[in-house]
Amino acid sequence: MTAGTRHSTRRALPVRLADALAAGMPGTRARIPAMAAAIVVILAATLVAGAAPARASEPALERPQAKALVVGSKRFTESYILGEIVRRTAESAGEAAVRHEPGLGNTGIVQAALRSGAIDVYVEYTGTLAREILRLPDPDDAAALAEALRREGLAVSRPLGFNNTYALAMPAAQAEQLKIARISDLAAHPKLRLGLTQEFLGRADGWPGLRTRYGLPFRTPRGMEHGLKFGAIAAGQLDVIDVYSTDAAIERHALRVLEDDRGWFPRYDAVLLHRVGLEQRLPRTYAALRVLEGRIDDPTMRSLNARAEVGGESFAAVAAGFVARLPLPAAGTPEAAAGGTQPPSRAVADAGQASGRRSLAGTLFDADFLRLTGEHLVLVFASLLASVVVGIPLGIWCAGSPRARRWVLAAVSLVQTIPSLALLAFLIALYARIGMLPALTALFLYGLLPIVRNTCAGLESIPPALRDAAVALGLSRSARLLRIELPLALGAILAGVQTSAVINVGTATIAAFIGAGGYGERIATGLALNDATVLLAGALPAAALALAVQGLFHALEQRLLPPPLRQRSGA
Amino acid sequence: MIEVRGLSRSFGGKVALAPLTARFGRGRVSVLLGPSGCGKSTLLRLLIGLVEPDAGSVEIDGIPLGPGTVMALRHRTGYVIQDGGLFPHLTARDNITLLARHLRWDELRIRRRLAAVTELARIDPRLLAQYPSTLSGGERQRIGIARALLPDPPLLLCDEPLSALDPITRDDLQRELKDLFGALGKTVLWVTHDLHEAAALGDDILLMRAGELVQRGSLSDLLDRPADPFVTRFVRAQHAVPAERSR
Repeated sequence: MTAGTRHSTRRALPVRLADALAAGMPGTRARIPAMAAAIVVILAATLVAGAAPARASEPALERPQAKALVVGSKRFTESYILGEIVRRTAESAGEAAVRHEPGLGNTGIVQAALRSGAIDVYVEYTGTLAREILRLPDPDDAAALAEALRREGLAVSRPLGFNNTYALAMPAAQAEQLKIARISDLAAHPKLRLGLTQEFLGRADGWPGLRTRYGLPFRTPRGMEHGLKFGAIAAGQLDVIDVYSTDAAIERHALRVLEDDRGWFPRYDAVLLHRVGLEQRLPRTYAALRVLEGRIDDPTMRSLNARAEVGGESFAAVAAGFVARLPLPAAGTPEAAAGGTQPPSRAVADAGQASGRRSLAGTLFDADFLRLTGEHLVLVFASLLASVVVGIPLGIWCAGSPRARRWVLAAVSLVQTIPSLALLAFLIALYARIGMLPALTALFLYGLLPIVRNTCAGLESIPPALRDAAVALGLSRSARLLRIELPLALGAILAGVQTSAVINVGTATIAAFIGAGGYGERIATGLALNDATVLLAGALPAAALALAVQGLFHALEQRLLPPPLRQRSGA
Repeated sequence: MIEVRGLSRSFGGKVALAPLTARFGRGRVSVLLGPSGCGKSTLLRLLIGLVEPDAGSVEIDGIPLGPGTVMALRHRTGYVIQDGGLFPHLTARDNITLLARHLRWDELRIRRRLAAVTELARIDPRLLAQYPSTLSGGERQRIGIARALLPDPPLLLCDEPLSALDPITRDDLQRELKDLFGALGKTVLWVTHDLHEAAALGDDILLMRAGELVQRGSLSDLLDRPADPFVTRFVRAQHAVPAERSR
C-alpha cells in the first residue's frame, strides 16, 4: 500500500461522519464531543508520558539552538534540491551549525514545524502562502502578503527568481489531436480523465476555485500522489494532471502545459520563509541566504530538477554544483565553518545515491539499508511496546466495565480514522518538533485498537463458570487476573499485538514524511523522483519485515501458549 | 456447622431464594434437591460469596460471612461444580495445586498434600501431567474433587458435580464420594435434581421449589409424609419406587 492510498482511505470516514452530522443524524451529535474529549484525554496522557524520556534521548532532533539553523523541505524533488541549496548557502556563512530535515510531508507539516521552531527556514511559494496559508483576497499583492506574514511572526525573502505555478498538463499528442491548448478548451471534453494531487484537490487555490473559474464539467477527478501521476499518464490511465510548471517530468513525458487563459493561478514565486528574528539571530547566515534572491530562474530550476529526476544525480550533488557558482563571501570551506558543521543531511545524501539508475538488488542493499532497517525496527517495536503497555490495561478495564468498554473502544477506534498526515501535523504542533517522537506517538495511537479490542474480547470470552471457580477457590483479584484470566485470554491478546505489529510495519513508512527515517524514506524518495526502483527498494523490505513479524508472533504463540490453547489462536 | 438466617436473594424481581433459615450440622451430608431454578444453586453461591444476599446472614463454624472473612472462609471450603470446573490452560497437577501455590505453601507440603488427595480421589498419578481436554469426564471430575480437597477444608459445596457423567461412572463416583465424605467427616452440601442421587448420598434432604424450602427430611419422609402435592409429583416423576431405596 502506498502512502497515497492509505491517506485517502483514512480520510473517508471523518468525511462521512461529518456528512452524517450535517444531515442531523439523531443521537450522533451528542456523543461526538464526549468522544473527542476522551481522545484528547488519551492523547494528552500518552504524550505527556512519552515526551520526557524521548526528548532526552534524541539530541539530533532538539529544538534549534541559538547557533543552529534547521532547514526544512517538502516531499518533492524541487523542494529537496532547494533545501540542500539553502543548507549549503547558509553553511557558507560559517556562523551556525546547519542541518536539513528533508521531505517533511506536505504544506501542513512544514508549516507546523516552522511555527513550532522545529525548523527555521524553508522554501515556500507566494501563491501557497497567500491563498492556502493566509487566505488573502488578492494573491499577487506582495505588500499585503508581507503584512499578513508579519502579523503571524513570519517573514519572506525576495523571490528567488522562478515562478513554479500550478498548471494543468496533458500528453502533447492527445492535446494536438483534440485541439486543446488552453484550460478553457477542456470544458468541451467532459470525458477526459483527470488525476490531481490530493493537496491540489483540497486547496483553496487548487481544484475547487479552478473548476468554478472555468466552469469545468469534471465532477470527480481522481486523487493521486504527485509522483505517481506521471506514471499513470504515461500508461494512458489519465488524460489531464496537475503539474508544477518547473516539473522535469513535463519534458520527459512529452506533456503540453495548458495556458491559464482566465488567469486563475496566482504567481508561485519561490521565497525563503522563516520566522521573524532570523536576521538578528544569525545576521551573517541571513545575508548569505539573501544571495539566493533572483538567482534561480525558471530554466535553471527546471534543469536542476531534471538533473535529479532524469539524470539520476543526488540532490546533494545537484545543489552543490549550483551553490559552487554563487558569489558567496569567502568563509573558507563549509566544513571549516561553525566549528561543528554536520555532514550532509543523511536522508538527502542517501536518497540521492539511491536515485541513480541502478539495479533493484543494488538499490535494495545500498549503504543505507542497515540504518533504514534499524530505524524501521525502532519505529515498529518501540511504538508497539507502548501500545502493549497502555493497551492491555485499557483492555482489562474495558472487560471489567461496560461503560469503560463503550468509551474507550469508541475513542481508540476514532483515533484510527484520523488521517495519518493530519495526526502527524497535530503532533508536530503539540511537541514542537519533528522526527521520531511524533512518529512513534502516531504509531502508538494507531496500534492501540487491535490490542485493546482483543484483550477485552479475550477476557470476555472466558466462560463464567471458570471465573466463578477461580473466585470460589479463594484466589485474590490480582491472582485471578494473572493466573487464570490473562493466560486464558493470551491467545487473543497475542493475536491483537500481532495485528498491531503488522499494521505498524506498513504505517511506519509515513514516518519518513516527518524526518523519522525507516524504509519510508525510500518510498517517499521513489514517489518524489517517480522512480519505481527506489520505491520498490523501500516497499519490498517493508513487506518482508511484515512477514517476518508474522512469523515471529507465530513462534511466540507456540512458546507462550499452553498446548490446549494453541489451536484457537491460529493465524 | 452452617447457620443460615433469613437469607434471601432476587434477580431482577424474580425470587431466587426466599428468606431461608436453616442449620447444617458438622460432619453431615445434606442434599439440596429440586428442579432447575428452584434456588438450590443460589444458596451454594451465597455461601461461597459468589452472590451477595439481599438480606439475611450466614455463619460458618461461628464466623459470620462478610467482606472481611470471605477469603478465609473460601480457603476453608471446597467448591465442586459440573465437569470439575478445571482451568484448561493448566495441567491436572497445576489445577489441583493452584491454591496452595497462591498461598505460598512450601514445596514439600504441596507434594505431600497432592499425593494424599490424588489417592483419596483415586486418580492415576500418570494423569497429573495431562491437560483437562485430554481427560475423560470422570477423570476431570476426580481432579476437580482433588482440587477442592487440597486445603483439607471442613466444608464441601458440591453443585451438581456428577450430572455430566455417564450413568456407570456416576454410580461409582456417588458410592465412592459418600464413603470418602463419611471417612473424612466433612460437612457437605450437595445440590442435585436427581432423587436417586439424593437418596444415595444421605438422609438429610431439602426439597426446594421456586426459591422456597418445601420439605426437609429423609427419603421416606418425602415418600410417606409429603408436605405438599408438589413433593409427591416430584417424587413420582423420578420413578422413585420404594423398593429401589438404597437404605
